[in-house]
Amino acid sequence: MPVNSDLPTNLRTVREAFGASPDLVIRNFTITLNTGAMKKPLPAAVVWIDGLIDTALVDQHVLRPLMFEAGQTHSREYIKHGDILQFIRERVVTLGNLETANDLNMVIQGFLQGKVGLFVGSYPEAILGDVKEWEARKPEEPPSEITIRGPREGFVEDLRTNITLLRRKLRNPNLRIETMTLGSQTRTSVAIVYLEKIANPAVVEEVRARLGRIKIEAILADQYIEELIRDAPLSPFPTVVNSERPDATAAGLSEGQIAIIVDGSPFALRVPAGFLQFFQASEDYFVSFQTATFSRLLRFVAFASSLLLPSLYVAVTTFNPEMIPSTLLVTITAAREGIPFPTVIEVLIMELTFEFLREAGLRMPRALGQAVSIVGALVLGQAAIQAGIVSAPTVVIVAGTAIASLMFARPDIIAMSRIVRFLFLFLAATLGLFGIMAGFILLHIHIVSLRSFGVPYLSPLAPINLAELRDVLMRRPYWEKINRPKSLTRQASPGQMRNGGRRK
Amino acid sequence: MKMQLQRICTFSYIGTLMILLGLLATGCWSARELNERALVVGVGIDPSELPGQIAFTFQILKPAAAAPKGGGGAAGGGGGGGGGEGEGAVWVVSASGYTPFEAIRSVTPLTGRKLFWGHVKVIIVNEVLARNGITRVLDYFIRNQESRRLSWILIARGCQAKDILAARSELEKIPIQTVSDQLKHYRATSTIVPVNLHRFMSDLAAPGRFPVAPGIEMVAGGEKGKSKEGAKEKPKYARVAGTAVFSGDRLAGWLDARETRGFLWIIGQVERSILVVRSPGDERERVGLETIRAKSKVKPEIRRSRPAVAIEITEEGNIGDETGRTNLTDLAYFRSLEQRKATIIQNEVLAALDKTQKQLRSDIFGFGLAFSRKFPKEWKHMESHWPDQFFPDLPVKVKVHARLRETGVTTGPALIR
Repeated sequence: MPVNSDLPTNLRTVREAFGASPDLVIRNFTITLNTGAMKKPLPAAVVWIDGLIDTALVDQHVLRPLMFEAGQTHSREYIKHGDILQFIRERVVTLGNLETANDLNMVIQGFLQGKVGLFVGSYPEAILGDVKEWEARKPEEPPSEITIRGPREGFVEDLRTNITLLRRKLRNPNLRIETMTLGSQTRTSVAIVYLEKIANPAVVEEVRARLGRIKIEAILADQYIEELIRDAPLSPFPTVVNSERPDATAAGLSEGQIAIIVDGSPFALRVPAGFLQFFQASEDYFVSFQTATFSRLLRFVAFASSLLLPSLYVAVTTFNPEMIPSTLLVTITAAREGIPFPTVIEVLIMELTFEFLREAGLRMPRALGQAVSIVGALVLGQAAIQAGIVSAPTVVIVAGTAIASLMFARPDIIAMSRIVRFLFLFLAATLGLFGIMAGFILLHIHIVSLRSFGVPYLSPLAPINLAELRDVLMRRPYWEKINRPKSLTRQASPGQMRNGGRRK
Repeated sequence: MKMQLQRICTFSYIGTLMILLGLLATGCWSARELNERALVVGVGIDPSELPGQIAFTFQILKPAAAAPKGGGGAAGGGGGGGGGEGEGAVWVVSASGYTPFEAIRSVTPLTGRKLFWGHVKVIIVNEVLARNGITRVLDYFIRNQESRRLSWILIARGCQAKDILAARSELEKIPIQTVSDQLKHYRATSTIVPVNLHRFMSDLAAPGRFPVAPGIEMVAGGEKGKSKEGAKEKPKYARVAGTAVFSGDRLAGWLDARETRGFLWIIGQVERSILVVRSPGDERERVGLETIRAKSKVKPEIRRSRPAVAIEITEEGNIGDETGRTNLTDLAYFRSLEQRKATIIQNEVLAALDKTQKQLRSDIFGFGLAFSRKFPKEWKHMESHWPDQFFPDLPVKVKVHARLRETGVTTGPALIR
């Protein structure tokens, strides 16, 4: 719909488009033009949505100049050519970001993005000025990825601020930002951020293509995008990394990853993602390399135990007790005397109790936290054992597993390990160590077959690349010459890229 | 979308299949909760009073009583275990049958739990049974998938195997643990040979080598003054002593502590030993020498178409203590001590050789095996006559290099002002 040449018609159309919403502000006024000989009045209107713009800016840079200063400036030259709008743009309105639109729908969209619109007399065009300003959280310490020595800033819900945060980390003109609007109802801005010349152009193209294929009504957070564009959508393993930290995201970009930031979400997604990347915490880069390497290796051990500890316990005690040292076996057996349930059920009871506690801790109002933790600790730690419902070693195992599983920097890995742990528990209960081994092999086949945007999920472990592997298993000191990982930017064939298929 | 659905279907189909197959498998697999198993820690095998039968005795763990206090006590409360001290931690059960398997299975109605062999520490075989051939009773333990080959094999000497399983231990809650500890620490003196099922069986199967097993006997122990009858105290402790020498799978006879060490010198398995010699400084006093390292080399030779063996033993050690007050750092004393040590070792080796060659006629050293490796052609002719013809008359040359290294953290004797 083009902008009409009749001012009242335009205003009516806009008002109707918003259903006479009270936050739509329409300010009618008159511009007095000074042609030198005479003063010529011209009706005009400024339109904006209250709460999305900075009204002080509008007052100072739009209304005041138009209503007072326009009359004092000579505008004959412009009037002679009949271009009042150009006069206003060039001599009157002092806003930095101005554009002209002749499509009323675009104008209406502009209002929604915090622009102020100026309709003048019978001109079939509108001037849009960017004065957006709304209430937003200030960057603060990201609660999901805490570091002790690292920077204390995290992404916020505002896309603009987030991009600024990245810009400030990477002061490099090669930082490319492309935005697109997704979600037919929400019209959410989504930004693709990457470093030109470092990111693989094929992957950038693929990201663009996958985002372009998205047809959805609402996008309210990054998870929507992640699920829509990720490889292997059925796998519990995350194939997209997310981070709340600008520094981690900037590091990813400088290694050739591509970030996707969704307006309204304080998380930036990164692709391509490798499995081993999930074992790196931001903290690794802010402490000495020995400490970082140690905790990284610790994370691998913790991952293995969080996946396998309960199932190994069940398998070994019920199928292969000869594997347990005699003294330990005596202790375990003694603890099991008089326990009414099989070991699997015991472990399941405790695992479920822990899951309940965890969910309760996440969802309940904070004021109730104390109560839950007291009851949880008592129920888990003491009462269950004393009542003879579960045995002490089981509690130790489940508690150890829980601690190990909470050790990761990445919530996605915690979530994944929860699911896989129960699968392994089931296999252990039915088939013993054989079952665990079978499950392990299947799991490996699965992981190895995954790809994230054309990059093998397990690289540099499979296919093996010793040089890069060193950098993944250890945090190498900065003084060592470290090459950018090639696996992220290596050109993948188009076939590989589309492997794992995207929905239409 | 259609593809996706299809994949979900395939996944869930495979998943269901795996679950169902898994459930089917549970029955045939050895899943059994710990508290449904009876953990056997010691097995004793005796001839039964019933003719032709074998009596089996088991030391079965009572986990609640054996576990450390406060550690597990499921329904603990205040009682603890009720059994009181030490002996309460195990239950000794006997049963008999014509074959070991029958005897073992016939305990289950009594115990109510299936016996579990995975933690058998010790298998004790009665001397009488061992003389009639030990494989008759050990077959079950080799055939069974649960039993482990790391269980120690012992021969009950002058007593019943079941007495040993019923013996007390002052230190261990599980009495039989003492026996396995004694074997594990054989290195302290190297006068007993630890032999597990695996080693016994592979010795038995090897051409030109016969197995040995440590003996075990009952001793009184304890302070004599305490008991009123003095010497007539009832034996109550088990002690590993001596070595049973087999000929084939039949017990042929025994080596004492000194001969056992002689045997260990030859096969190079002396870890540590204490050799007491007269002090070269003062012949009334004695010096204790500790062996810290010993090696042996057995060289089979054929001299004038007759087999012979040359043994070279290299020993190294330190001075452990002396009763006298000689400063032994003098080089001459050192050489003299080394000389005396070598003589002792030589004598021990000769004693072991003499006993096995002349009396027991059992090649426990594996000389035959060494010949079969080095002279496979000649061995073919010797093999059948090895135990009765060649081995007893085998000339053995023994050479001992004994070295003394250190005097401990002091050089001379304790200083007196």
